[in-house]
Amino acid sequence: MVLCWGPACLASTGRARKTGYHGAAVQNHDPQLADEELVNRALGGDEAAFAALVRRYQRRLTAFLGQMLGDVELAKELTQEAFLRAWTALERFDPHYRFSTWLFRIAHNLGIDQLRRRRLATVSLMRDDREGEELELELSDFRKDPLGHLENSELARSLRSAIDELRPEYRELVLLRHFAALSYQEIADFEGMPLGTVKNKLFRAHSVLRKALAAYLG
Amino acid sequence: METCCDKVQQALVEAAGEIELLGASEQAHLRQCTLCSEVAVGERALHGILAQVVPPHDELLEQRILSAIPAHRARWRMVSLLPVAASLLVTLAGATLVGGVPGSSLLALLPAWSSQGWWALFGLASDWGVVLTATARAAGTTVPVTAQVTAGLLSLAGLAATVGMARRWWRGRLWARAD
Repeated sequence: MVLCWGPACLASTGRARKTGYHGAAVQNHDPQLADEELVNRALGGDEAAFAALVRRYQRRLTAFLGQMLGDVELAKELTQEAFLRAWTALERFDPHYRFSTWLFRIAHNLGIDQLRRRRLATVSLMRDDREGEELELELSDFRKDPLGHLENSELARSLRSAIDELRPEYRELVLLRHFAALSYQEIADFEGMPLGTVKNKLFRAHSVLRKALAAYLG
Repeated sequence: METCCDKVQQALVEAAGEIELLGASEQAHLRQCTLCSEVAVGERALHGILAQVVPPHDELLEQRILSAIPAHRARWRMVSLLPVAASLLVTLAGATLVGGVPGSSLLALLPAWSSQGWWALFGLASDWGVVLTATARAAGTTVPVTAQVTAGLLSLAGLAATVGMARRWWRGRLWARAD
């Protein structure tokens, strides 16, 4: 029985042939290695390469999902789920696109699904009181602060509130730019909108944020 | 002037408020425009705050993700094997209906150096093939031609599906690594 592991196995895959990868065995990965190179190695069975991708994106995914859902613990669970789904679908990843936007697309979809489920749960938590008035149960303790790591908790609250109050289209771009740390071009790819539109919307969003956080900006 | 301010302020947002990253004309504008200078200060401070929103590295979470992969892989192997098996079944069913599975004629071409065990296994397969062929011939007298053509197409589709599914399954195959 033939053991297939590492570059020898990778060399036999179609994509490895396309990209011409014939490197030596890898365990410790250069942090400067491109995502696509790490994906190639992970496809060849190199777990360290996938671990490097996890290390590279874990914080940003958690931050992005945390702010999207307002619950850092849930964000961590979905971060794990996003990586597992990415691992499963790695072979279907099209190297013509950026790995970052693909990964954040998976996470974004998971976040949207979660929000939909939560909306259903919220509806089911509506109930009538004795007088027949409809009540919504208190859900404030459901949220676990995604900015809890900030030393200034008052600033964290204000920042979260300022971001929550942004128009949805601005909020999403702010999350992608500052929480997911994507470049303008990556955001344009992610959203499927022209680069100029991304720049313009982020400019508008920053104007709103500057006004909302004026007290902290000196 | 307003359009010019918009342009400079947009550039400031992109440059995180760092004046040095702007072009010469934009820097010259900043020296004259109080409003844009204030925006530059505000942007720098805002970026300083936003730079802290990504949480610190979570070693535990990383370990949790990496340790979840083997279990996920095992589940994925089983789940992705099912379509392979199903499509193989479709292929065999189609081939049987069309005219039987080639058995003994192919076996005769096996090289003489095959071990006894392999011969026994292929002998068994041959018997199975003979049974299937006989069944198919009997079916051929009763099953209409259109049904046989459909079965043939089904068989081809099943074969394509088998190849496709197997390629996907290949990545998580059991012998890929010693875990």
